[in-house]
Amino acid sequence: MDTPKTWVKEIKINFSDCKGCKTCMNACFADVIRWNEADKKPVVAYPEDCVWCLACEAGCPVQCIEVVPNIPAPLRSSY
Amino acid sequence: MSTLEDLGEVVSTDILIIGGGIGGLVTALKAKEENPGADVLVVEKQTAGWAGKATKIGGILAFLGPGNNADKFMDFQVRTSGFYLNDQELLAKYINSSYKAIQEFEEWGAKLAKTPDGKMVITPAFWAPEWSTTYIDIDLMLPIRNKARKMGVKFLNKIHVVDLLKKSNKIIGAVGFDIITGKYHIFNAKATVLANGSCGYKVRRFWIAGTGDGIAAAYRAEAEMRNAEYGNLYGHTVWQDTDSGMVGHQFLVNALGENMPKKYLSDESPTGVFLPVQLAVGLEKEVAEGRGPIYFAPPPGNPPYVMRTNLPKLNDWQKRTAEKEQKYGLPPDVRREIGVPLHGETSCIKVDHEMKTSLEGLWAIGDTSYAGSAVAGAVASPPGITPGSGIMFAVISAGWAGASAARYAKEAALDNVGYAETKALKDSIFASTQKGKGLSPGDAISLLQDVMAPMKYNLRRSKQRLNEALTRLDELKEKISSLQAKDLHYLSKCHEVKSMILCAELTYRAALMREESRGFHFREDYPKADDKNWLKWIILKQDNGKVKLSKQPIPIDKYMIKPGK
Repeated sequence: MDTPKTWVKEIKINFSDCKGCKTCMNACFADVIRWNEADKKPVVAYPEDCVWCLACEAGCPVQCIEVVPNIPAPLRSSY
Repeated sequence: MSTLEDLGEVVSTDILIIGGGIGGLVTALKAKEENPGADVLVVEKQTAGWAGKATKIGGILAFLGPGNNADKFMDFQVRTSGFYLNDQELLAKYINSSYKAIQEFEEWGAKLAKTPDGKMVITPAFWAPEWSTTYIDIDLMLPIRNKARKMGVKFLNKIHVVDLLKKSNKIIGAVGFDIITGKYHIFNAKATVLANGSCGYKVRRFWIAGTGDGIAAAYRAEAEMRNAEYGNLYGHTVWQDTDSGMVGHQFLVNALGENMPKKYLSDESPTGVFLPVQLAVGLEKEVAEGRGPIYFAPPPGNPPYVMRTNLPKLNDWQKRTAEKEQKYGLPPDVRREIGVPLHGETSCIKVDHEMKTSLEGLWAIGDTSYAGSAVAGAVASPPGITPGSGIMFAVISAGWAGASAARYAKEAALDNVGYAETKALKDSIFASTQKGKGLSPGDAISLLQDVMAPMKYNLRRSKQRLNEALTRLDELKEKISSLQAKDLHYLSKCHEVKSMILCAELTYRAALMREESRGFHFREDYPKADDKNWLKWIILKQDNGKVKLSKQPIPIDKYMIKPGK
């Protein structure tokens, strides 16, 4: 089956800078980011569902998260 | 004897609001204002204040500004966009509520665009006469959520509500599951408000949250639906490479350099930001006949439309997006082929003038019921021909529903939730986690998009092709009996797929029944509007597992605006 590719290539988190504030997880409207209770840090659990809305990046108080988009977009053709 | 508590977490509340986007939050505020003593609970699939669609891209708000003439705007809206399928009384109520809603945003602490001397930016809408626009910053929901918290509204996040609980014709709550822990939740409520959005079939990236969960739950509970055939806009995304930007269709050209709107549109065609039907069908024809692809080719010095505001979060988002496009995107000198995606907005729960559904104890607001309210008429909604109404309709309809539900809850009593029904729903909700090997929800979404996205089914409709689409949906319904969720995130997606397939079926069943062309419903086999037979709404309702359709005459005689001049 010709499954469309994902909207993003990669979501990078610099864990040494991350303060564990959970803003990125809360900001995600696609359940991409979950929480690792043991480390008290976020986990990029479902990167295939990220649509680079950038709410996590914009909300991060220490700017330690970066979303790398897939361009061109995997936009569904209507023709 | 087994009790409800053996099945899961039981939560009782006066008012249950399903969805923590802008509509759900404002419903909560308005319910508390009406009845401060009421227990109000917002349940959200992701995180209230960030969820839904309102924070994406940035809010354009359209409204009746000071000095605008309501009658003239209404005349335009009914004749040019709604094509007489509007509930004109409710449209008038909406128009006249719009400026107050703008002022309330300021009171709640959301940031509206300002001129250098501190006045609200008000710009005439370019797509409609006697209509104004302004901008709101993309963090608009956070101050509203914080205010709701201060007023005592409770929140539960990461809970996917799947079904409503019903006793005779009355809704008495809902059930769902925690997408992190898997805990089953049973909500018992006096009044329930659906505020969890329209169905966009996950085609466009900023609209992926719209999966029609509330619409599907209401349909399964036998609530009536209306205007389901109107959920099908097509946009031209100026940058195919990022799915951004949807203005300037006057600059579309084919591979030969021919201007597309000049070829396919008359001068009187509505402008809007979406593709008029004739133009969209024209683009499909150009590509089919070998004159594609279609490019966006503005003349030099006429760059694509960019919102310029002093809103800090919106500016930051625009800057980040531009940087990503520069860093990871195509070089600037590459010719930009446009994308023409389906912009699904199935929002068909039928509601009255207080946003009450046909079921006692159930309200539906915002994008769950925008088309079903008949405010917009023969066009997918939001945003129809007149964009800027998505957030506005959510907020205004939330005001009506919040107050109405709070008044109802004051007089109503909690009904007992039955064990057997709740246990059966639990078994059904978790069924996809029990199976061995089966269809993944991602593959099911892809198969659904094969049926919903093509213009040949969803815009250039005919009896033969609609039947073909419905057959493909039937085949898909067979296939999803083997849906498999490898964890709770995917279980949530399994339920999203089921909701979306149901919304798709409602769309095509209604489209097959409407044997005329009107607004965004275009039938090649019935290319003209038929005012004699079709000034009617199509009502859909579940009946013994099947979609039962009927026609409801529009009370055009009592409305101000009638066909003809």
